[in-house]
Amino acid sequence: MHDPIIKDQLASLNLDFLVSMLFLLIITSSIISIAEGRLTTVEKTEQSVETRLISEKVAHAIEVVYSSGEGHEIRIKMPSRLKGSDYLVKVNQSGVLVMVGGRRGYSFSYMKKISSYNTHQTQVFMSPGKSYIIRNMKVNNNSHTVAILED
Amino acid sequence: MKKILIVDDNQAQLPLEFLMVVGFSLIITISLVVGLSDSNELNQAMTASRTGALDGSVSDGLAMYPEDAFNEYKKDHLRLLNPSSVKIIKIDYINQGLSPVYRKTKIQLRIHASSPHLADKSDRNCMGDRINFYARKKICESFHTENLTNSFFNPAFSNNYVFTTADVRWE
Repeated sequence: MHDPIIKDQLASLNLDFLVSMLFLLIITSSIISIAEGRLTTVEKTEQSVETRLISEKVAHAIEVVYSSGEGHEIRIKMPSRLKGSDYLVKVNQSGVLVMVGGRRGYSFSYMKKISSYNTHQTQVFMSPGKSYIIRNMKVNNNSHTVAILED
Repeated sequence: MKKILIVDDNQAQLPLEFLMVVGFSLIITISLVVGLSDSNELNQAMTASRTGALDGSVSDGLAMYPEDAFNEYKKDHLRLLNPSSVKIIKIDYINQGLSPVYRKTKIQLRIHASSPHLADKSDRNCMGDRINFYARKKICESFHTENLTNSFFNPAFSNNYVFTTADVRWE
């Protein structure tokens, strides 16, 4: 049988261990509550950034299509969810509105005609997980419209 | 097995000294614990307020707002619907003593922030209100006292403190 390296008949080492663990627990619990709050903030921030990116991406695509002339088109694939939340994108002649988790973000664009390819509505909804083609179309000889159609 | 005594202590002086040391230690520890728990609570509240202020600055910075605020800004503060740079610089607090109304120590928070590209005063007020709102909200969430306050989380409560916010100071 092995000889013990340290003789500790009064169990002072056990006592030290317990006291150290107590302090460690107190410190850890306070750090965990701080970390939890920060993690929630990070998740919300990530969702807000992704939402803003979607709205800017769609608004930018509309601007590029409009300024590039007749026949120019851009295909956009919408993400299925934004950080686990459903969302909806609404496009009209003045900009792009994204709604997610009770919050809204808006990207302005230069006033122009927007229409749905099939229904000719001036307000178009873009749904999560679907692909869309944004196309510049000529209407009434002189004017152009940005048509959004589901791919 | 024969035990070796290191010290002869027939009059039990060592246990007496031990008891005295333990007694003094207890008195000191208890008085420290009261002060430390108060400091810990204030520290937790300040951390929560900083996290909340960050939430508010992210919301302001990315121009992502709840529906009612969005509709209000669409009417009167169109500039706020565009993203802007918002930075929280520091959070100060002033201890205003015991509040006779709530019977808790009243703390006023003052958040210092910066947004160099936003010059309009009323726009800044709106942004500041949002930052303050989220700071108070996070304090209430941290201490689970949402049911003690109103929908603006003003004032925010912890166990021994009541928190209000001064207008955000823009630098």
